[in-house]
Amino acid sequence: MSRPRPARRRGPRGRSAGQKSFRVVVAPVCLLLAAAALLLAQGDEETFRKRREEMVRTQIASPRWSGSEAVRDTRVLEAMRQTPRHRFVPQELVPNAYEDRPLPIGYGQTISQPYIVAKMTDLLAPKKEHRALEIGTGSGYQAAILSPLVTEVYTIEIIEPLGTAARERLATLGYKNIDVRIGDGYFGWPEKAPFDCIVVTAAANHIPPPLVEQLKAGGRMVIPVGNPFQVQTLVLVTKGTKGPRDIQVRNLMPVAFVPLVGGPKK
Amino acid sequence: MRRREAALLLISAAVLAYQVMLVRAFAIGQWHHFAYMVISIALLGFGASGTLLAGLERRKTTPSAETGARAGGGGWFALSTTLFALVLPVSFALAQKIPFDPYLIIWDRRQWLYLACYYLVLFVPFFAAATAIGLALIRESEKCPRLYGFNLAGSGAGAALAVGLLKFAPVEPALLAVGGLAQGGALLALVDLAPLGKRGRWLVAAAVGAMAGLTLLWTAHPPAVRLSQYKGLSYALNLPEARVVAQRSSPLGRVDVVASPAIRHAPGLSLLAPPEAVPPSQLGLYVDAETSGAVTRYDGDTTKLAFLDWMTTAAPYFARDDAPQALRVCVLGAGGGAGVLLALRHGAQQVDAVELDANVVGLLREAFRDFSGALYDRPGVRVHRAEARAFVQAAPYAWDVIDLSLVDSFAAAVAGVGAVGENYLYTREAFESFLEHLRPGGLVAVTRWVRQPPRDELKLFATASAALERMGLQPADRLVLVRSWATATLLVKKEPFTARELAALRRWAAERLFDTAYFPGLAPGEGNRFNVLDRDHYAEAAAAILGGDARREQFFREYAFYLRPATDDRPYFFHFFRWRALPLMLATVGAAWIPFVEWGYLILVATLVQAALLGALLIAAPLVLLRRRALQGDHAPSRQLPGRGARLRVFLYFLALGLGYLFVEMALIQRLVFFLANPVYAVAVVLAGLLLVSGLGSCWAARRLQQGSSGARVACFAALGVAATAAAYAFGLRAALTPLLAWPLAARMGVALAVMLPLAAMGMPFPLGLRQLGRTRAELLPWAWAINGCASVVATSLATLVALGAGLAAVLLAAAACYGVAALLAHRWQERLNEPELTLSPR
Repeated sequence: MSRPRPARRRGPRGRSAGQKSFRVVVAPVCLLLAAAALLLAQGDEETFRKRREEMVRTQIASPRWSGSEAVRDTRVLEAMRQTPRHRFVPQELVPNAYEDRPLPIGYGQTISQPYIVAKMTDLLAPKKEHRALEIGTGSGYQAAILSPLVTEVYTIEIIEPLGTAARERLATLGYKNIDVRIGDGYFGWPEKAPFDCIVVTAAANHIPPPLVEQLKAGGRMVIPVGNPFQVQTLVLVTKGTKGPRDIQVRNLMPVAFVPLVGGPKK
Repeated sequence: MRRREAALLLISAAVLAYQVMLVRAFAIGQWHHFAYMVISIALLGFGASGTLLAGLERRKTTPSAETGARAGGGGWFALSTTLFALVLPVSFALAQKIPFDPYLIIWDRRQWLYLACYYLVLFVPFFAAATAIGLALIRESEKCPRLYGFNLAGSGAGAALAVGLLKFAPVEPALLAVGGLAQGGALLALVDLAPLGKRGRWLVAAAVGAMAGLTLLWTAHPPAVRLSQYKGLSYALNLPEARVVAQRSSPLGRVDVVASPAIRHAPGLSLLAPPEAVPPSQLGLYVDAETSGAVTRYDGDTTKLAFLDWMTTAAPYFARDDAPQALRVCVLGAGGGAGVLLALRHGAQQVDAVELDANVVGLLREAFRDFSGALYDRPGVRVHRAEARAFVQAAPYAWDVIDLSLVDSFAAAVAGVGAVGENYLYTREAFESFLEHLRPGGLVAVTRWVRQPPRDELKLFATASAALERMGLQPADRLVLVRSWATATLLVKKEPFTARELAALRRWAAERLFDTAYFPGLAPGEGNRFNVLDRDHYAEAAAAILGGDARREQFFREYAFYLRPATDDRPYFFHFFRWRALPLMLATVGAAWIPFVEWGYLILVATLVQAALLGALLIAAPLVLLRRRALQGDHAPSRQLPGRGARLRVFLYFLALGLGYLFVEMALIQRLVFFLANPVYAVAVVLAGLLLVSGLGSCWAARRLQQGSSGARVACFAALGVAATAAAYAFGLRAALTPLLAWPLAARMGVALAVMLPLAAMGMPFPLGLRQLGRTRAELLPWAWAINGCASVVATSLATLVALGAGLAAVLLAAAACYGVAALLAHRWQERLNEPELTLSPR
């Protein structure tokens, strides 16, 4: 149904008078709009904060499915609570930012599910004095999560547009201890090596041996394995203190399948 | 041949060729699983056309249309052929604009909408073509056998043509030729319309103009296949300085070669690989836009290829304590040549490199000859363009190492109807054949990607163990499984491994942080030291598989994935899905099960379910339309629908034929893929051959009718003949064909055609049934057409599921049962429809 619109009256006003009245009308409207936007934005931020709380509570601290092990490190949980995940996703996916799902960010890349990010961070056992290296910046979300947990985060992205966007985003959001480099991460960041924590999100078919070399004794490296939307295994590499050959790899499943396979453990 | 018949021939050819092209396009742009899902819906256009035809039937009022002379309908025929010719290129171009990404389907509801768009866009051309073909058949049901002959022959020619075209051109330009066929059909149908009024002539001119315009547009801007951003090739092209340096296309697949300094292919390279063991400069190799290895720079100096020794694939070369004299190696699925380089690095005197795709070999020999150091033309390297299993089976040589690394044979994806992942490389019989082709002390080495929970490696282990047992050898002493975090290599020997060999292997593996997941005499916990699993599934599985029949059975029953060895009768190595595990999985991990599910199988089930539901709807629709017509006051006896019993007979007859035909076709394709040792030849020969042969059968039936034979009797005997042949093939075909594998290809093709010849009878029962129905219950013709169309679509996925669950023989037996039912129904056809059988007297 359409309402009849009143015909617009055109008075014989002069131009300056018109401009003036224009200003008189428009200026307060603009102010009002701006105030509303600010309020709304704050309201939005508040909503997002609540959704983050909810995300941490239901997806990470006590995951809904018995197969996934809870992440208990309070520092990791706090980082997940503080980091505005919605600022790392494409505009049209903002409403989905806190859902229990990976999100596409273009160029065949994704932001992992919140639980996977938390789990990987947890596996790295980051400490305040640590220095972290990330291969495959993507949106920058993993680096942002690591940022409050370590001294410095060095992150390398091979896909130029993604790297540039992540660098700008992290700068806008005020992350001071993250250094983004655009280039091939295969040979790590030798100038800043060794690292206590390394995340390799872009391992195609092997873990680059130079990265293993740049891992500090006692350091930890995590590699998610699977396709972009489905992490199947988290490979955890730990370097012992007994020399360069003292390395252990653990294939961890983000989901425990133990009750499924082959009956009771013998 | 009349114009209408020629048009029918061309349209039939175009439909089938288009189908082949679509599968190809999907395989490149997306996953081929989804190709079947989408195309099966598109093919339901055949079922849906029945509803339209019933609607047209409803509008007809003249009683003359009820009699045998149902010639008219030229307008609708011309309209639907023209629509097909116009929509075919448009629908393909539109389909490339749909931003569908299968990966996202679980997360993003919009993807369902995109999938629906695919269905819709691709449905239209098939619907138009099916309407045209259906019209041609049912409007002249008296001549049905002859017309059906043209339909089948056209389809057969279309299959052969599509494969032929793809040999010379990529999908996009090849589609132009398919469009040309459709346009030829449309033009013939339009010319057949004369005499026309002025308006009619204008319309015809407009249609011709539009076709010409589309052709020009396509030639100027052929729409490229849209690549999903999650395909390996898309990812590679995002790398710095990445560019496609070569592209080749064949019915086997599209091969792309990508250059970028960031391409490094060394699957499962040891974490401890020293700096000199970093892969040298490589070119990425992509088949159907999926990663398929790499071409490594080689200058004749194998010492620069140290990285090859730091992967589990090198295990066979470190498992010999005495280097054999004149090492002979066979590399199956040689691809970019990593296996050949590895063999040369270890001093092989003779390397037999087996590769199916001539384009891959061609690229290494020509465009990248210098880059690859003329690898495939080096002295001592022999390249065999052949399918790996058949090559070994027929080879007159024996080797010290047979290397099968990270190869999945190309599925017969070319025509879609064939590929359900049958694979004759990883069957028990294949392992027996490999072992028989080993020199004393020789090894078979098979490498696969590791998955958690483990599947592939365990099934390989079970398969090799079964092969050894069948050869009367004790498997426990003859198997070794080495794994890294990413790959696992299984070594199989005919003789037991010696203590010295085992010691050497153990040392080599430990140096590289590889675990010896199974080893004769492995101490508990020893196989889970470097790449630690919370639970050592490998040790448990090995103990169960080698622990006697009862324990093995229990393990197979309880494991979450299907691990029973694949055999030549059930060649589905990649079938891991178990229904039994599904509820348990959902209960334990809920939505987190998604990454672990075997998608191919579930998509197949989804395809069957949607086809069955929509098919049921499309079968019901024409009947409803016809009933409404019967109720609309037309009380002439012939206008009333026949009783329930008669309808049931019609339904069962055409259902059985639709299912039976496709069952035979699918089973034969899979059997002959093995026999012809080439998926492309197999699909082309079987599809084209079977369709042509059954088309000839239809024509022969038409002749018999002219000579005064009873249609019902011919149909009955033909169906009986097919049933008997299918049953015989179920039991004897494999045994009869296996000894002939060593014959040359031309001879094998001849044998394949001979195998299909008795199946000419498959072309008879359907048109004879239609003709019979046209005489007695003509109003049911559109319904019969719909039933047959829907049954064919359902049969495709059903046959695959039956084959996965019960083997190919079961599919053939099911086909025999279908034709048996059809024979029974044909036998008592007239009595039940209460009409006297009319036979034409000889002219």
